[in-house]
Amino acid sequence: MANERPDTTHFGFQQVPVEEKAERVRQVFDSVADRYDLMNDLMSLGIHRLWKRQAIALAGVRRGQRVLDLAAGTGDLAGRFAEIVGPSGLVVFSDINGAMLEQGRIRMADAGRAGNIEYVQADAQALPFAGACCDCVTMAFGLRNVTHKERALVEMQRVLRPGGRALILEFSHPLSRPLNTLYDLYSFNVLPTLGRLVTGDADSYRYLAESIRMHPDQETLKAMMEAAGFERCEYFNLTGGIVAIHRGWKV
Amino acid sequence: MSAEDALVAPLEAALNRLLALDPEARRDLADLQGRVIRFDILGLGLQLWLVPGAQGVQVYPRYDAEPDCVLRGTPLGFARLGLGERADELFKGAVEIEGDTALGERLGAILARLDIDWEELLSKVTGDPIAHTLGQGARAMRRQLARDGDVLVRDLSEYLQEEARLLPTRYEVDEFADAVDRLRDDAERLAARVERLQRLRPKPGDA
Ligand SMILES: C[S@@+](CC[C@H](N)C(=O)[O-])C[C@H]1O[C@@H](n2cnc3c(N)ncnc32)[C@H](O)[C@@H]1O
Repeated sequence: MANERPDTTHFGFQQVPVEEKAERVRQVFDSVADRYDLMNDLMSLGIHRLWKRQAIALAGVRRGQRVLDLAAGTGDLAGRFAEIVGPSGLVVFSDINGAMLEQGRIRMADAGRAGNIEYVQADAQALPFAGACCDCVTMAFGLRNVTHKERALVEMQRVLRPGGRALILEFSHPLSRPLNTLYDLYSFNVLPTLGRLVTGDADSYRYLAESIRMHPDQETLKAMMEAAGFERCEYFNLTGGIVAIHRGWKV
Repeated sequence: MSAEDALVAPLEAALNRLLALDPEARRDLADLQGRVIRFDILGLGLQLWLVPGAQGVQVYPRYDAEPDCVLRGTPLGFARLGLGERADELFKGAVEIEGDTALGERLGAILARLDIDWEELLSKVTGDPIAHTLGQGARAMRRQLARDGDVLVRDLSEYLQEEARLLPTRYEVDEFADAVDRLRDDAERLAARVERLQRLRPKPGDA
């Protein structure tokens, strides 16, 4: 990003060296992994479920397809995809963080989802998969944690088959000023307090709020996708732009 | 009208509650896993997309894929599915199938066995007043809402009515119904008066 010195990246608002960011992001998710679901519900007032449903609807996956869910975390998307692609398809449940991956695996098993899910610990910036291996790549609330977003986008494009699509569900920039102000108030005050009460960790959630603010806005991310080689890129604003779904195709 | 996702999610949950009680239906449905089926509900101008899975169904107001099959019918047409009549007969009349007909008939047969209260299900999506005009779904829905404590849905249909003004409010529907009643009464009174006047008028040839 333009406002970064080459050897540092932003960890929320603090500038930190690149390797240190990866480490801190890991710590953040390690520390919240087991209460993550509850926190998700509380902090988005349950609306995150609807955002994820929209992402699934826009992915339009069907029987037999192969889906890669990056930064899958607790697997809200992966679980629904596994139900759709069936035994003739495959869902690769991937996350950089072992603790999140383990939580996800337990959760999928508890929900009786097995047989067509593989678990792979991987950094979205360097995927251990062959090119052109899947029909759909998704990343929900993950991209803003990635140090080199361009690299992750290029990787997503690489692993897609021609005709495949990538979907990125991520916090974005609210369209209206009042909403923006209200949202800032919520994310910088309410959120860390909630985080402290639920997970005993206010800092992690302060980081989340800051990383949301630093994340590229709708048009910027769309341009980044185009630069990574995606075609027919478009985005859909949800809840007044608090969240956006970006979609691009490989032709 | 495009159904709102916030209202379709509870509909999906309700269908899956029914399916949870019927392992056989769930097994049959699993054969259709990952097929994309669109319901066009005539009269309401409503579309619902259904994707069966191994454990239940997913329902969306839009789904960005070519449907394998489209089922088209009025709410009443779909309701007849629940009467235990043979699905293939029904489809000839009440519900039209386009695309993969065999898929549509298999899904129809499964739904028919499930004993679905379509009116009640649809009322989750359309909100109270439209359901009211379909039958007496409104009261049932209200009771259902109270029972489920499904406050979110209520708030959202309130939002859709009051804020977004996408749906007529219950008050507006009642007003309209009253106006229709008044008009009917007026028309009846007028007819009675015309009749009386006709009786009073001297018949040609009298006098
Ligand atoms: C906010 S969670 C999202 C979880 C899930 N997708 C959801 O929407 O509920 C973010 C996830 O991104 C993962 N993550 C962070 N940096 C990553 C990277 N470079 N590559 C892959 N995953 C990463 C974290 O471990 C964490 O599980």
